[in-house]
Amino acid sequence: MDIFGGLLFGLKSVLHVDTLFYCFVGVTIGTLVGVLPGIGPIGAMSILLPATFGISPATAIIMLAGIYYGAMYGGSTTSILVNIPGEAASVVTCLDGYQMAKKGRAGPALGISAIGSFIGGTLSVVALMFVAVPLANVGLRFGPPEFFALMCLSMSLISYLARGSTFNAVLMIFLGLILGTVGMDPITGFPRFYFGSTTLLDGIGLIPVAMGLFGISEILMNIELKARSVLEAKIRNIFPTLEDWRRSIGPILRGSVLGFFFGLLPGGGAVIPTFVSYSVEKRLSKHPEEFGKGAIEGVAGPETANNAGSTGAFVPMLALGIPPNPILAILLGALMIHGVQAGPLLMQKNPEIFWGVIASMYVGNIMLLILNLPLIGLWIRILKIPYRLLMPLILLFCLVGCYAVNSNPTEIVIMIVFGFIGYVLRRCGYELAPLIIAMILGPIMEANFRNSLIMSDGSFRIFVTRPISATLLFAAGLLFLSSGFSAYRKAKKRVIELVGDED
Amino acid sequence: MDRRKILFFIVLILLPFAFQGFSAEKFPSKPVTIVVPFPPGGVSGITAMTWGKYMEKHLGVPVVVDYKPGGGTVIGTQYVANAAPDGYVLLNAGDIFTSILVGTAPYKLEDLTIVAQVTLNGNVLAVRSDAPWKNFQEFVDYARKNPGVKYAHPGIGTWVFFRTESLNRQAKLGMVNVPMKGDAEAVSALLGGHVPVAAGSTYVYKAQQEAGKVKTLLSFDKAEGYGLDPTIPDIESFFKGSVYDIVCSIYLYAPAKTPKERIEILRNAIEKATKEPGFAEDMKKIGHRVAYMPGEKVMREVLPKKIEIVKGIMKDTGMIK
Amino acid sequence: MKTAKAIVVTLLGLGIFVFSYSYRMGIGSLKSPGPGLFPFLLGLLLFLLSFCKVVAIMKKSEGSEKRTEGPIFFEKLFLLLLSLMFYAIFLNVLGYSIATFVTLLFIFRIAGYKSLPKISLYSMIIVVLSYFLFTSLGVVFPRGILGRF
Repeated sequence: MDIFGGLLFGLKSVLHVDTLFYCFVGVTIGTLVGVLPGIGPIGAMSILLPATFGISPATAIIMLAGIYYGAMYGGSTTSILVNIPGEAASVVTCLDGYQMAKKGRAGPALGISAIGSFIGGTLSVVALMFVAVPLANVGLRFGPPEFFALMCLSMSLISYLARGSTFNAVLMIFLGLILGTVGMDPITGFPRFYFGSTTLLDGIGLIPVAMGLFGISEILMNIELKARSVLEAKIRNIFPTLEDWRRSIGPILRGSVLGFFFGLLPGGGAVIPTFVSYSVEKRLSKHPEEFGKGAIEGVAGPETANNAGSTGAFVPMLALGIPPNPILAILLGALMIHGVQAGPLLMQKNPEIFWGVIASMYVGNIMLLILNLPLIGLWIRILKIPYRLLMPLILLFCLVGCYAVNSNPTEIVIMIVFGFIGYVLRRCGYELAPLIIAMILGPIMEANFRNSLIMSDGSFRIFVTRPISATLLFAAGLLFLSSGFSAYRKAKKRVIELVGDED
Repeated sequence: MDRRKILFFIVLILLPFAFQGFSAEKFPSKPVTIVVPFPPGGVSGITAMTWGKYMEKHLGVPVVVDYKPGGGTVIGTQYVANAAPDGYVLLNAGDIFTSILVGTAPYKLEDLTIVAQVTLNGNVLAVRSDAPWKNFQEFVDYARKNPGVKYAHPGIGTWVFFRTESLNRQAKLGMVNVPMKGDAEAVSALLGGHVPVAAGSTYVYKAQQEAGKVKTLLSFDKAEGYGLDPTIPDIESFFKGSVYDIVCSIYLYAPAKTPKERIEILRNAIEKATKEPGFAEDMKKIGHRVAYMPGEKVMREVLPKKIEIVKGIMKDTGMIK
Repeated sequence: MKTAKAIVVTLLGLGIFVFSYSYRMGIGSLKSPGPGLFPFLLGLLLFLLSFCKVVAIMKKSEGSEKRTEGPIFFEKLFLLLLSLMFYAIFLNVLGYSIATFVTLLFIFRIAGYKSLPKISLYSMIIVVLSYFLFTSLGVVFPRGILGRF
């Protein structure tokens, strides 16, 4: 069946009242789950899994998929409103989104976020439709050396996340890398730095850390201020201005490409492209000093990237039957329950599932846009709630959200500890974003580095003899050099100023 | 006035608690929980759900699944090991002694008792369809002549790894393991040409084989039990006893102090469940083979040999001293 | 400023701790890394960098340090952290409703509310509504005194 025939076929099966209903249920629950911090799609999907027994496999997948990409729409809400990342993929949105909210520009932030998510999601579905199979094969060509190189490239971009002192950012990066080593060593299984705590065996959880470093620390900082509400300025607009649109279109398009590409890599997801998008946008922007203070590009790019990423994750899933992350693994489970074997033959043997899901994503994204835009007015009003009432509510959502990840109260303790750490660090001018991304990238880098050496029997040549990894490493090297160079020039300038002062 | 109100509220709050105190003479009289030490949606969850579905008929109460992921399988296992030994909390897991040996588990083997071995998870050794080896014999010959063949597997703590390493050492294949994160990464590494060979769950590679992307060279235990092509060799038939295969068992556990009569009731229920016609079919769909064995037999005959082999592997790889 | 110095010294100490601990884990060689190699290098680098920073701070003269904005209400801060800790510790024991109710009372007080009956009412409403919201989204609460509630 050719592509347009398939799409029509899919649309025909989707445009039924009951399928549309399940799609709507899925995306609505997804949005809700995404808005609430900590609670992710996994919980809702597993509750609804038994409910899918009575319906056709295609409809079941449509609903579950809706929960997944719907969550990417809602995740930015708490990031922007109260600096609490809804999930890992929304951490970056906190950086500029929250600053925009404080300036009364939460409406445009939420609006661009929703539109960007829509564009990113829809463009990715188009790409999914046309190039799923060939792209899946490209993704397969990424093995341990390529992943290591890709992580190096991503790391070289991290320095752009920092607003202030690069030296401080580097310290934070190393701290983050060290925190990333906690847990079972991926290659030998040796438990590192876990001090007897079974919770730490899996490493320091990303969600507790993110919620603590960003959300709790923000609350701690605000207790001291006699502020009546989160807002520092009056609410200015509800809708994005023309200027906002103009500045966002580039980041949105770039974010779509980045997100989709990273999402389709095995082991890929929606988290990494958000950081990469932010760094890229900061690098390309004509006003990089605005980043971290409320630059709309810092919201547009990452929010688009995480939606494109979640859709990109369907590439290996639909084309090869390989789920690239634990959430899609649930979809695989759902297929298994219904007796459908997910594999490279899915497109031939079960076209109603393949095309049904793709068609439903178009519909789902439209539903999400219609759902989320009017909600913006509601969300903005939350900012007007007096802080002394808002704060307990925020804390409750943090506590429960953190617990919800693994039903483990120890993770709440981790969140609190990192809340304190985040508070102390922020007070002294350190940045938290480099810390978190280093925590995420570090273990991936290490595992792939060591696996590459196992594959090559200890030879380092494997990194340069393979074309993809060699190219990526070269690019990473260039970026390191260029940022090192500019840091050197900045330091030289400072030294000259100091010497000049002494005259 | 105030005091009475307070008293009233206290009674109100304590009421549901009081009702729970009614201990039932008949077992079971309330829902039974099967704990799954993995995140929801995986094969383990589906296994537990299926077991529960069939056990309900023979127990007369609902059977629910509770997910407690983390630490490998440590968190969920710890939860059951510490749970009230009243027969209402059970565990669906494979062999748990690996974490105990490494020292990351805060419980001992004696804290849990195996009610029964219910199913076996199928594992295979696969290569790409364009690989130079047409069958397992050719591969074995090649591997022995060229030590250092890399194989991908889902991770160091997984049973697949131990099973493949056990084969590797006993059959002297000289392979080197490349740990991946789960079956998904392992099969991707194989398909992408980064490793020549991969070991993993049957149902994953079966799907790829049907699409013509991989060749299954070996099924660790009987191929046809998993719906695979019966000409695919298994360890038993290929090595004729010189290699002992440590099967990937999935057991039903209960806290060790659970009264024997209750364990017997549960064991009976799961035994009857496995004999139901739909059960084997449902298990086959997810790559499992029904292989019921009462817990006592497992602990006497199968477990010691498994522990011995795995301990050896762990010592060699440096996982334990 | 005292806190800035404390942070850098902590990082310094952390660096030392990490690289000495990792050494014992087994470094392996660069060609065949052991579990301790990465943490060892990271700890070492952290130590070196924080050392540079300590030197830089000591060289800086006293007056040129950034003052932080606003006084620090240590009392409120620690009370809040304690309430959150209370929640983490007692959630499993007391169950969702009681733990949340009590913790909310503390938090409301810290946030500035004075009237106990008012915040008790707020907290009770929040507990009930949130319980249903969360459980319908897949959150399973521990069995406390009141069962799953």
